[in-house]
Amino acid sequence: MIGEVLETARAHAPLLLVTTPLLAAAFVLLAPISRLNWAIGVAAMAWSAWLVLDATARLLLAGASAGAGASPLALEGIGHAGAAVLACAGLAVMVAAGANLRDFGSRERPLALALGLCVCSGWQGAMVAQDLLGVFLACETAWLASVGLAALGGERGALNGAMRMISAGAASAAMFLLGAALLMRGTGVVRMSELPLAQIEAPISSAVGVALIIVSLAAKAGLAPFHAWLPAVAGRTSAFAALTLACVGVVGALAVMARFAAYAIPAPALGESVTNVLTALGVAGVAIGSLQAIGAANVRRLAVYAGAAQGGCVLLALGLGSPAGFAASLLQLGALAAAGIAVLGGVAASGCKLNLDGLDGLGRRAPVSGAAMLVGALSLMGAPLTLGFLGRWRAIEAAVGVDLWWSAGAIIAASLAAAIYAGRLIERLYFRRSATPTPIQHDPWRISIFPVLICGALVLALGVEPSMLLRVAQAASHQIAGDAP
Amino acid sequence: MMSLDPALLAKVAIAASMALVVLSVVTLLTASNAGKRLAGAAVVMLGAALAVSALRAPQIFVSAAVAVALAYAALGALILIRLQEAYGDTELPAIDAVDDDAEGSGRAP
Repeated sequence: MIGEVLETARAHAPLLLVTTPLLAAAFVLLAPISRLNWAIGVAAMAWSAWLVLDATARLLLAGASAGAGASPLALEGIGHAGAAVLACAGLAVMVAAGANLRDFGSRERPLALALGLCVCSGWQGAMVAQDLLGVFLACETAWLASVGLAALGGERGALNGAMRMISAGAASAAMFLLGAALLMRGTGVVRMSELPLAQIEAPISSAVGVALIIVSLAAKAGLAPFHAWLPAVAGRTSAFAALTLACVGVVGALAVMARFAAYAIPAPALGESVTNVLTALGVAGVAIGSLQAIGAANVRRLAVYAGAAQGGCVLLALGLGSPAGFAASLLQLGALAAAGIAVLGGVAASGCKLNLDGLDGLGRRAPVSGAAMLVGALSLMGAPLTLGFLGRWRAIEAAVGVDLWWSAGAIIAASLAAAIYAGRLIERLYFRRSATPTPIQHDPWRISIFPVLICGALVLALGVEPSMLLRVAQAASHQIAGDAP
Repeated sequence: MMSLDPALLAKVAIAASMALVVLSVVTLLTASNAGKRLAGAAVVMLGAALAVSALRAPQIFVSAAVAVALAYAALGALILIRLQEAYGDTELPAIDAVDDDAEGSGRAP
């Protein structure tokens, strides 16, 4: 009986990845007890994570993925690996929510949890949707839920950030729609998997369409120079919203870009435009994100600017257009999600002030949170034996492999800049004493520390023994980008 | 009666809807009042729906654009009301100044 249920669930894994968090969101709004709500949310994301990791072991690593066929939802290639990263990040965020929901009033908590689940469902939906309309609707569902979550709780300044998200989101949605319409007019295809074999009748309008879609997703990923909404929200919203936006929202939008690029780059007459747009955005992201992270005075803003710089590195790797570049970008996505949870989760778990001086001596006052933040910061700067190093190293190798030395140089420059801002974080944590130490507000059950610790441990463990992760990244990139020119 | 070339009409429709999108994006990104930005958000989505229709994309895309536009307008209106309640103002430079002051003095408003 249980075996039959599991087999049915496995057969419908893409659909369940979208519907499970949505159903859980509905239950959360109905259930009256906060702890029960949290347990429902954690169970839904744990089920999603199990489904996608099981599919990874059975299909992706075995090379048995049969493709989407005519199905509107499917797990394949880059989307499969992206969904795995998102489901695991969503689970970690949902576990930490057990303590982070304290920022909300008792009436707001179920709504915040439900919106968080909708964000996870939306981005996971964008990973499995096969046509452009499905991707658009999934992205917009996630984005609108993110806006609602950002506006709840936190300081009143979060409302200002949420209004900026409305502006950026509407412009981004319009660009996506225009891009999709131009692409369909030029190529005649709606399903992304048909793009590589499409007869392109209007190459210029198709290329403009692809560029508009990529820029639209860059705005949702908070990549420089389209990231005006991100620091405004991250600095003033609740801890749960900041963690969800930075570790699920930003990573989700970057993963959708990777997936779209994997279909568009092999398309004749489109590949060069896609790589040019990705590379230009990547360079801008690295330069602007790194400079702003160096100047940041708020730890959450520092983390999101650092994320924008890391996102730039992901785009630089994608812009190489080779399977090795796609594999490197997937590794960097995983590293970005884990480092984000370690740093932002560590801040939330310790309950310290958000100004950088609130971190002074935190490594001694809250040793576990401090250690997780240390590992996250080391991964952000790409220190050896961390997941961040692995992603950077692979990206540099891939760049050198296609003779794009300047791209490798930009990734190294991002690491050097990261050494400055992440080094400042580490210096504050361990080499300074606070003049006015604030009491550490531990949650009574220490729930928020578990995902932070696990992510910190994963950053180190996967940095030391990356063979499984490398196999997944290579299998995912070869399924779609294996025939890229 | 003079008949108009359908191909020319289609091009004019595409150009007009694109112009609407561009103008409303400019409004969306530069208006100093939150209400004007919200109106810009609604108009940019309307322009996108018109452009999608003019580009002969499947009608389901137009329906999706209208649905998403309504969602943005509804959520934006809620946030606008809460902004007015929280700050007593919807002028974004004034709201930014209040937020910056609160952040500078290290207290939550």
